[in-house]
Amino acid sequence: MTGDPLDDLGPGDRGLIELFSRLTSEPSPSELTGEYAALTMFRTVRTGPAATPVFPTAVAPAATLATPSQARHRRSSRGRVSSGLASGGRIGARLVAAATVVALGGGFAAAAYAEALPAPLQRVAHQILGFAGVPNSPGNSTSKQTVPVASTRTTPGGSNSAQPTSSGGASRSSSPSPSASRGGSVTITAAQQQIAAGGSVQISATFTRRGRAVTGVSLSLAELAAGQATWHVVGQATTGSGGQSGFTATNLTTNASFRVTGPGGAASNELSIVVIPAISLSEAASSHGRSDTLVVSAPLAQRGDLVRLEYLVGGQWHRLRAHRLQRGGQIEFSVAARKISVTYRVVLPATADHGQAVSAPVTVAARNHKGGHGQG
Amino acid sequence: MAMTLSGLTREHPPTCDPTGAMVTWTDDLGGADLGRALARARSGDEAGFLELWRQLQPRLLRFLGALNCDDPDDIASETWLQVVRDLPRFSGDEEDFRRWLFTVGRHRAIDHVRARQRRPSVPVPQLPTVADDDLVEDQVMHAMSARKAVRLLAALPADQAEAVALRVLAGLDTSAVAEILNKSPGAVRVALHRGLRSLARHPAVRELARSPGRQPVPKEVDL
Repeated sequence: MTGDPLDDLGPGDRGLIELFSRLTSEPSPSELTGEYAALTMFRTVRTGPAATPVFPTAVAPAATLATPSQARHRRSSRGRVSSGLASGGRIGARLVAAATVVALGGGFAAAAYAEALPAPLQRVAHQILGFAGVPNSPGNSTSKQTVPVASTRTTPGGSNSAQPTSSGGASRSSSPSPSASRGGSVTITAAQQQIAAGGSVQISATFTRRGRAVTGVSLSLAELAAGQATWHVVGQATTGSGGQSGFTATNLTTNASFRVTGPGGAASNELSIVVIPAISLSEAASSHGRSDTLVVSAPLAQRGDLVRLEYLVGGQWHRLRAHRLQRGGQIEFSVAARKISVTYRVVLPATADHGQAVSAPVTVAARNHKGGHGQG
Repeated sequence: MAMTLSGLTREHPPTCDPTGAMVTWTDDLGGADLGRALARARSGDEAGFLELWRQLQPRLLRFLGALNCDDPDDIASETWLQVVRDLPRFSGDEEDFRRWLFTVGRHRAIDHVRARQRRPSVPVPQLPTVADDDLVEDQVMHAMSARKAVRLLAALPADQAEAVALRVLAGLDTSAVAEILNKSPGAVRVALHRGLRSLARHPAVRELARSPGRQPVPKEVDL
């Protein structure tokens, strides 16, 4: 006896012990949804403005051969684009100011998450913490907008590169409202908002000045991959007739945002592309005894990502259990052998790095009384 | 059987109830790993901070839920913001950190209540929302475990709910809870005792005693 009621729980307190087990149970996915926002806040507050996302406002010397998301996947390091803060561009300055506010003002981030800031401040917060889920101000559609689906163009060039192309002035759907500058404005559209991991996305940019398309203008495509703090220039192109240029970002393996910059500080809005990793479910040949083994493979997902096993009943999917992916994007589920066939699938919920992925369903045949698979 | 709650990793020796079924309660908050994560986070290491956050954020959310907070996510965000800002000045071990984190969380929750009282809001009709299937599913599944347990705590008188929540969710001992609540250890023990007695009488807890670990399973199929 310690005098502490919790230290003195005994066998007769089974209900309380069960209750405490549930109170201290594994977190649900919804309890961990703010992870990336928390990381961004930590990065912003602890390391200050220098580590906040820096958007290059000047044209980098050359397109890089690998996008940041590729580089991240390969765990290789990249140099930062040097033209960010030093160039003194408007956006860079605003980021510095906002980062300072975040570092000093306790309620700023929370208010930003809650869309409780005045519209201009909300927009600034969104620029810093947009990836972390901070929404833009209602009147500004610089992110999470519906990207007009444009006609897809095949872009020549090798893989593993952001290949600039000139466009012949194909007609486009209406574009998101651009961030205009005195020198002109840039709009950006993508053929798709979601792509399969490892796939490519075609991005089209249009440069206008006083409402008129301008040809022969050099534009730069910058990418901010999920988990990265710095924008990187990944391609350059010159506008063709109609003031349009096309880019193809290839081999995307994580979510990413893109922007296009032009002369005079003109910058497009942010365009978010969601990457869907492939995920497969298969029954292990070694299933035996009273259980069957289901093998999940999602090689481009992150280790530690949650995977949910679901089963089909009456046309509806029900969650059975969840595990975190292990090294190599694999995990196994052991399920009890059934006297009837059961159809399973796995769901990889969306994270900051990727969108939600769902495997093809797999039906595990019924076991007969001797332990072997029957006809179901 | 005595259970020690002061450590971060606690596994209670299994015992048998009168029916012969095993009774265990394992609470693994990361143990020494959490101490290492704290040290790394203090030096600015992001992975260390994430480890801390992953381990403690769910507990913080549940604690705030037990305090009947309207928006635990928002208050938890403010809590972490203050903690991260002041982390360079923090000194202590992982238990001290938990004490600090939950103290800050409690203060932010109190601030929210005061702010709400200063600025009474006019209730508006519930806005229509588009349900997120995943979130709904999470909630449904979780309703059988942590969420329901948190609601049971939240139904206790405030002093009892705070004491039990800090003791169980934050893993703090009686003296630390007393310090946070600005009460004597004896008063905390009384609140704990009364809280546990109320909980034990609750029909849901009595049901848990009869059928531990039971999860809802559709009747259409034998799973």
